Amino acid sequence: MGIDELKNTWKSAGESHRTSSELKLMTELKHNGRLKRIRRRLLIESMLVLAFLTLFYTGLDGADKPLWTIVTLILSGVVYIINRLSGYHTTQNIKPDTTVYQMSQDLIKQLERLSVSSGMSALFFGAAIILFMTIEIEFNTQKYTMLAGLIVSLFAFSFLSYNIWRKQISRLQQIIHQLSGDS
Amino acid sequence: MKEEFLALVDEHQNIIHKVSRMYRNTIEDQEDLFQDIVLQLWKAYPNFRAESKISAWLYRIALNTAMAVFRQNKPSLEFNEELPELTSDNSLEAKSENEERLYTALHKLSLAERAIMALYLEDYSYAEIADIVGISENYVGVRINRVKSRLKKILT
Repeated sequence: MGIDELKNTWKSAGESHRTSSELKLMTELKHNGRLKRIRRRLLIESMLVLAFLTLFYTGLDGADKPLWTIVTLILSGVVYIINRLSGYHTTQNIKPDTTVYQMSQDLIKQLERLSVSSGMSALFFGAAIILFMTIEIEFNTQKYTMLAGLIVSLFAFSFLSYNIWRKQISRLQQIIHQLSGDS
Repeated sequence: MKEEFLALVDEHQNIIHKVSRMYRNTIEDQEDLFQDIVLQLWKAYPNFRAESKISAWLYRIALNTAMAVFRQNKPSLEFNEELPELTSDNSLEAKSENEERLYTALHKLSLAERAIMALYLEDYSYAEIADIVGISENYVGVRINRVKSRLKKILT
């Protein structure tokens, strides 16, 4: 297949079967299939955090715990949810009206900030849960072992939250390397 | 403004289709990307300058959206690893086979190489490609020569 033939094939490729009304629906956020799935996932996550907080308060005698631990727990849950919403906002508000190189660089910066804040917010949320669970408890060897397990889980959770964005960052870094000829 | 926008997209929707098919493996992912591109075009439309070439603006937004919107890789169900045989007749079936062959070959290139090659195949000048991709005109030439050699190897 020669270059001219490739060009002809490329130019004549592509379908044009979407109607104007279908295209019009695609301009509306609420009809975007991918964003709809992300919004549904965020809603489920928020509900789970809320259920988790309620369960902790009622199941672990929240009323007997110091007020500041309850406030810290709620605050950390809210920060975690806000961070997830901020991730959604970043990924749907890209700035595509620039060069591929510039867009990749700008998005990497945003995602790196998001990656760190995701890890931090997960760490804060997990630490608040551990604090809430362990405050005013008399420790013995079994409870220390459980605490160690919780701390390990907390770091794993924080690392996973930090890592959510790493794949996308690494993909964009590859694009920059490919464009600048580093690879 | 929306009617004017829809008419422009309607006229050039084959570009969105080509970019979606070039960057996603499955029909479902291609449909998602198509929708994402139309949404980003609509958001960017107020800043579109009428003196610019509409297809270049469309390619810019479409390529950036394809690169920026992250999709976990799923096993390809739509593309064969084997390239179909090239046929020289002009029937619809032959056209479709040649397209399949071209997309299969493009899928073997890196993400950045696909963008450069699509613009080259569309007959954009090196200056226009450089302006969309964000590298120097000379370097566009170097990359195109390399990608052409790679494509040639893939297609033989």
